[in-house]
Amino acid sequence: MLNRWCSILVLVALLFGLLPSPAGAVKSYLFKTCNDSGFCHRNRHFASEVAKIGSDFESRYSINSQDLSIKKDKGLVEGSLLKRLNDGSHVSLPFQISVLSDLNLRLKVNEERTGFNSKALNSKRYDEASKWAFTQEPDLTTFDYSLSDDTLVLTYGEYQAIVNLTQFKIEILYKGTLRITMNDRNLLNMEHYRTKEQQEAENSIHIAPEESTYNAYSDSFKDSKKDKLPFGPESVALDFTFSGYKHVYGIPEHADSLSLKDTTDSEPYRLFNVDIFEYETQSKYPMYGSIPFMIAVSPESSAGIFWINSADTYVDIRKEESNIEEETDQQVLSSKDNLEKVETHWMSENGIIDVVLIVKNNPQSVSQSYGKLTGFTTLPNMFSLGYHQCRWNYNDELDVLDISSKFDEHQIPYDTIWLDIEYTDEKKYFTWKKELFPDHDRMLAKLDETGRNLVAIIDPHLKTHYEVSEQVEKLDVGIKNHNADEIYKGHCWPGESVWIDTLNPESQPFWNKQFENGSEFAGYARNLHIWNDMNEPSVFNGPETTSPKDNIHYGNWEHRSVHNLYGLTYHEATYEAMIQRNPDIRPFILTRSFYSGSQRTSAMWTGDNMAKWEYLKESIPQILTMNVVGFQFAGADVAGFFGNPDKELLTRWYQAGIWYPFFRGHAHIDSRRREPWIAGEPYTSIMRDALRFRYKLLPVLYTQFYQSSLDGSPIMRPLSYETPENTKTYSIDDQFFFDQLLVKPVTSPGQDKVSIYIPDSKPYYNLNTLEKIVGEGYHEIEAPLESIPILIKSGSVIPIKARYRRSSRLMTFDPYTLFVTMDDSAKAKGYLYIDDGESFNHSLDQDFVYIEFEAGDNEIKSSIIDGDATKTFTSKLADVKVERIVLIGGPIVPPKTVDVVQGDKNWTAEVLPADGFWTIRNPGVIINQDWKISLAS
Amino acid sequence: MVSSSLIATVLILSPLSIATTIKGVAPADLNLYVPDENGTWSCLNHPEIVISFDKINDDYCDCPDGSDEPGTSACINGQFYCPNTGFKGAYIDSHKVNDGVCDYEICCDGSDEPEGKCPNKCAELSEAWQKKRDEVNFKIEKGVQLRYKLVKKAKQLRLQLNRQVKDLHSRIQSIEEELSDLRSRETYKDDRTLDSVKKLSELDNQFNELNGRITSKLKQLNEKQSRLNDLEKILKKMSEDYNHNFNDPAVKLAAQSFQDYSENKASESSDDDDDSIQKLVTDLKNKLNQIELEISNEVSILTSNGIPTAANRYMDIIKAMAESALDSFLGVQSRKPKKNTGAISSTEANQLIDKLNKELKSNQKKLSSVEKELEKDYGPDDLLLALEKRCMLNKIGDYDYKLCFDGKAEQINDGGMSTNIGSFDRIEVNQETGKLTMYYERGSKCWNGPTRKAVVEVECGIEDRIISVTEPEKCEYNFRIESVIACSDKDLL
Repeated sequence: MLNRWCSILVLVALLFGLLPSPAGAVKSYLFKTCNDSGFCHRNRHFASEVAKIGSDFESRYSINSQDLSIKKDKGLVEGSLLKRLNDGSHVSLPFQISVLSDLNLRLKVNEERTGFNSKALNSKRYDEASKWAFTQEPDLTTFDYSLSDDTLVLTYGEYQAIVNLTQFKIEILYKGTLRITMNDRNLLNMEHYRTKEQQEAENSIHIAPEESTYNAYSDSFKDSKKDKLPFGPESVALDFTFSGYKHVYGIPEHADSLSLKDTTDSEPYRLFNVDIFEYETQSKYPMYGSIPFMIAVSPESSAGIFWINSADTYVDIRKEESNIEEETDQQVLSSKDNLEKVETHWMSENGIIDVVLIVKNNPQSVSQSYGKLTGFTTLPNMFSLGYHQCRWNYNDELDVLDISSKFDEHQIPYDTIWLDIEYTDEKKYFTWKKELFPDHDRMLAKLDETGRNLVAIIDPHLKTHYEVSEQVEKLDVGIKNHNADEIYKGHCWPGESVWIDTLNPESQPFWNKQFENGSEFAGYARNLHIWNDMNEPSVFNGPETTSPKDNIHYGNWEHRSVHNLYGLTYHEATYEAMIQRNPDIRPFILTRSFYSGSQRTSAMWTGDNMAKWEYLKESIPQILTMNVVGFQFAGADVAGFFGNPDKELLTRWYQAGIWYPFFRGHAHIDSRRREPWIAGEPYTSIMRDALRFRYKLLPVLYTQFYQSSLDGSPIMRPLSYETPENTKTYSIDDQFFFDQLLVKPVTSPGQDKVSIYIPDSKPYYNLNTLEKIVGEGYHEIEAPLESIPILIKSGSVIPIKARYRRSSRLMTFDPYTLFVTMDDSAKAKGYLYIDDGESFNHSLDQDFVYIEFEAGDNEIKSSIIDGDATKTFTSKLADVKVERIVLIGGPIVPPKTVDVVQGDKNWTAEVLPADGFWTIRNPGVIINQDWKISLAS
Repeated sequence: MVSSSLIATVLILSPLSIATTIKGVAPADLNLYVPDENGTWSCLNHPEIVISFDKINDDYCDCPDGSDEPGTSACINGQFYCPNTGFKGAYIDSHKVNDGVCDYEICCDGSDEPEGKCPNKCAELSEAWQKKRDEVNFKIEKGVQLRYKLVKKAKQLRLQLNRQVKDLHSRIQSIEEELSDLRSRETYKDDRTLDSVKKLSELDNQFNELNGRITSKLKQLNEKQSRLNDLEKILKKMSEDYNHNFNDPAVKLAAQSFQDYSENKASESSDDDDDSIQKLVTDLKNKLNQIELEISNEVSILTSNGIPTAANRYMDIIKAMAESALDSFLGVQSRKPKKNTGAISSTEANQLIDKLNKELKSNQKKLSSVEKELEKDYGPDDLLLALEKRCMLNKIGDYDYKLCFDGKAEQINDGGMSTNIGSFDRIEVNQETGKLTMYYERGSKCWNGPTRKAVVEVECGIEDRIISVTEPEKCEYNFRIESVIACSDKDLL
């Protein structure tokens, strides 16, 4: 009698036992490998067949020189690329080669598809990725050229582009040296349109012997078998060889090293925005966002490839020189130039070939050139550079205000508290759960008293059957199913949902309305900002946890074509809505998914990491990578989203996190609370010190953002960007520069020392001891739990605000402290950017000051080199002084006093000597006017 | 805007004289801020550090103790005195000085910010404060009265318990005496019935054992059935509400298996279980009847001889036992045992001894439980004893929460399903603040986590009430409740 009950209980226990455990590996069965993916499989097959044939391989692509239209003054070459079929006939592929104003070469290859008829679908290949990625269509510039039957040579600036017409190759020479070869290995492949019948016919003219037909018209991967693949095979692929380079960076988002790895015997790097649950470190799996931009570095030059395609993409990397270190010196000497190359193979599921090839003197110039195309990182609202405290979830109004006041109680600065999905009523975005948040206006007002902000989550999936999603259906602004006859319905947090199609311009006014001033959701608060999550988009029941590729967007484009840029369209719509709401406040938007161009309007973070040491370590190359591809406002969850960090890991993670341009503590709902005061002493005090240090550095960080907004320079900066001439720095990704500070966070347990690499021969000073350290190479420095290994590079002036305040806003009128670290020739230089930190008046009204500090010739001077000190905000800076100047590496015997000159006044200031440095006490200079201090007594 | 305050506002009348005001210094401390004859001054806690007197409040921190900058934000550890004229003066941390925030809760006069930034609100705040004070004090006073009644009640209850202990002791003593009396009494043997009695007592024992087992199994079964119902409810909800085709095979598999399980369940019958029990009971009943018949035959032989026998009485006992066993099995309220008087046989003596032993045991058990109760910590003034496991029920957010003093804490959802958050473990009083905190532990186990528990902070209030329940971490609850037990004169404002 009992047996039956027992067996049922066993069954039930078994069922529960089967539920997923919270800590596990990435669900690799959810995601396609290259082999599972039709187009990647076919292109890798193609590449290996072509390689087998070797030099006998005859390219199927050529250009007839007679057909070329060369508009030299417009900077444009147009014509048809001919793809030869098996019967000798050709498919004609229109192409353009253009020279961009920044002296980059752009190639576009398209296909005019005929014979495809569908009401639901646009028959064109998707050619609008650049429309979303670029700030505007770039200007073209003139070139000189010479043309023969088989070669077209374009000359512009110090560049030459040699176009081989008979087998379609382009070689880019910079200052006479070959740097990039396009189609070097003949891997160009544009799968032209043909029906299944045509392809499968006997002796089909459409399939070359070196091609595979794997999954051309169907998808055998278990979760995407329903994919209609209406166009059949339509991939585009091309290879590029970087000559004279060993290291390439970029193509985020992957949890891998800064210097990308050879993929010959492994998976290619994949660019496909997915909600990758519990991702692994040192992996080539795709993650939440994609930036198809790669940078190669060498001492002589740096090169970049920007592959403007928003479809599923794989990139193979092959490094010829991989064994070079083991070879004899002589071989290296004789063949170095030829040997050092990185071969890359780019494969996208569909769309057009649109690629920009960049070669410059150094990596910074390549990053800058990319930024000129896609826009620079926006200057953030000052508060968003402070500390963000997040958790899934702060439960209610009381909880939020209690956490907020605990920061003050423990005298730990913070700027922003966050609300994850649980604040909503049944995960219906734009609603509040009234029982928990009876009066969100009141809560926001209370936070505002001390300059605090609230970030609330708004995701693109909208639960079916409520006002907002019903409007989406009524206005017809949702993503549609494969017939385009119905709004697509899938599952996400709230259960059944629809997805707003932010490619549709009609979405914008609707989206604006949800955020507008006085709305039920947002009221009139000026301190409310938005977190856009799950915008890959994450679809729980979709293939690879995202939208089916045959879903349809505005313009009758398949989701397949726009997948990687959907996340960008979504957070841009939110940004625009927030601008409409309050045009005088810089919106802060955090996005999880991104594409080239996302940096213009949002910050990103590296998604759902784990509270383990390897994820702390991984966060640094992840953020360095984002910083070199123009997305500087990046961070990782401190101290790991899943799991519970021990106190040492928690503390070390805060010490590392203060350097992330975007600095947020976040934790999973099942994890224990871990706000900085919970760990207790000595940990709380160490974390307090780290957090306060971040706040002291806010003027530096803000100035770095300003510079980055002008030139795309990284904020967390790889050593190779500081000293590109030093090849030893190229694969270092566990230390970095932050302005002129060289930092190596501790990322493993039980350490009390680190070995830090100094990349040049300048003197450096250990910030913790002010000990002078000189010499290229590794130096061991103390790193007990309470200290962060930081060196100041000499020759720098670093402006900080030394006083603790509760939030960044409360520091606005605090005085500055300058750290002046003299180099060997007793010189130093630094910059400071100041504006109101919140509005757009810096760009609309020149309401900012940009200050240059210069030390040398026995004086320190400050000059306003840009902006206007008489504007609404900058004039108020007349109350802001420099309270101290700390001189490191200055004259050994300091003077008793120094002479200060500002405007038509002059006075003396006292000097306080100390061991190893000295301090000018209260020099009394105001920040918004030029001044000069003579150091000679 | 900031500059006026950044400039030291020291009014020096003449060397060695006391300034009338120094920004941020309490009037009582002005005597500490006097320059010496050289116009210098020493940091208050660092006499070795001597600075010129005009460096006080010059917006640069010279003293490690912050004493040279009472009126500015230059020192991290400084204290700024707000006179709060019309209210009471207070110190504010120097980092809150000149930061653009009117920290009225400390400086109602707004003196922590530059002139004109924060208008003086002392009058307004003082009025509001007085109003609040009146309310709070009213509540405390009333609460203290009610609490006093509880204290009295607790004393009475403790007296009652002590009395109970005494009574139990004396009852135990008297039983023990009765027992020793019985053991010393003469008994005669009733051999003829011995055989049957032996058999019967065996049977009796077996029957009792069987009865016990069946009862406990049924109880277990009922518990399991109800747990299974809960599980089925959970799984049903999951299989209905999960994201269909959710890309987690574990969830998919679980949902599918549950659907299979549900379908199979309908086809199975559960009749035979009840049948087998029924059969067992009937069998036993028949057997007992048979024995009864046998013995009554024997007895009739005896009675016909005119001898009043023990067997007669014994028959009654057997009947009573059988009845009570059956009744308890069938759930009928037990009948009153019949009293037996008269001469004593060895069987009767044994019976009586058994009965008395049982009574002794039960009294001892009762005694130990009362003694345990007496030893328990009922918090200050035995208040929890007086509350007699009183409960409160309030809706907080989505759930009803029920909390019983010295009992259980529960969360009850819309559907009436209750989750055990924990049982009362202990009450603690903070020695400094007098704050009462109760701890509830060992609730139901959390999925993928520890067992539920709760910390209950008790505040003064006239009626028992749950004010808030939060779950700062999964399955760890914080309750704030109001009760008179937390009311204290010391908290009067």
